[in-house]
Amino acid sequence: MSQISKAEVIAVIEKALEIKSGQLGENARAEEFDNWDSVGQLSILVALDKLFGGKIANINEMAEADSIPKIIAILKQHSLL
Amino acid sequence: MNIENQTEIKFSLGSDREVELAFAPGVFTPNTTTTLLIQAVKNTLAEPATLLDLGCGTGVVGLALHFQGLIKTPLYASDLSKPAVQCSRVNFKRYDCPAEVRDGSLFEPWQGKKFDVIVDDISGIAQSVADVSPWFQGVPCDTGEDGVDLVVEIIRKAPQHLNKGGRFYFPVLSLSNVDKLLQVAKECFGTVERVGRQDWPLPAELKAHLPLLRKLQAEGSIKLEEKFGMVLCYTEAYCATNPLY
Repeated sequence: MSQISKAEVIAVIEKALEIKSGQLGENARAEEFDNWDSVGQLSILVALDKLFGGKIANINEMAEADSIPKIIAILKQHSLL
Repeated sequence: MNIENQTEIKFSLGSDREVELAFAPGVFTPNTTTTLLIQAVKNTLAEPATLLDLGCGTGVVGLALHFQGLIKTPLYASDLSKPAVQCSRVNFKRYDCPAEVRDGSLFEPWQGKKFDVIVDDISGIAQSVADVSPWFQGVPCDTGEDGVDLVVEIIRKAPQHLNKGGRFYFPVLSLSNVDKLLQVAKECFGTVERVGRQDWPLPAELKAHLPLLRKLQAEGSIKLEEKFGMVLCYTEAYCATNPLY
């Protein structure tokens, strides 16, 4: 099982979106943040791909994962969390 | 000054500043390429310089650099679009940026004039992509089948308008023939350095035309990457120095 925690994932997403640490809650959604647009989504996926050693690149459903719960659910589905 | 159908748009210059810009039909909307160019110049220009904002649109590139103290005023700016020239003049005045703005195509308004820095905010995409894209509403994009005609012409003429030690910044979009552009740049400048890159997902309006885009990719006219369930493009900013003629 991966040693990466949900908290680490959220921290990486905050950094990708240039959001202050602690501002992204566990239920945060894209529509709540100006920076979380399509370019922001790409920044998130690039950062997560780096965090998970290249394992995100082929998870196509990540493109539409526009909330923290959706991202976490997909990571769990793929046994990355 | 009355600009026909003038409106206002807001544009973020980063976490520290947002500007409100006079805008009108026929004026190019600032976008990712604009932000990338601004950042590239900010990151690489060490001291104030005489600067030409070529294809100035709303004037936002020159304004952003003026706010950073990087312009030896007056700022020089030009655009083919008369509404763009008018809007730029309003915006430079609004933000107390001394500027000389001229209308005309590419370097035509600047015969015999040289600058320390030229920022080319004119880019192009393959004509068949431009035809189906949402970006050129009422703004000309006559850049050729592989999207490089205008930028090639600008790159070839830029050396004549640079002071010794001058810098020429230009954007490259992967929806054009990137390899050809960089080849021409290397024929004209001794040093061509990438100074910025932004990957971005293909907009929904263009995803509907994927068969066309894949055909263009196969021909070498554009570059696409499919990753994360997205179709990705990129914009790069380059800085060219040491003109070869």
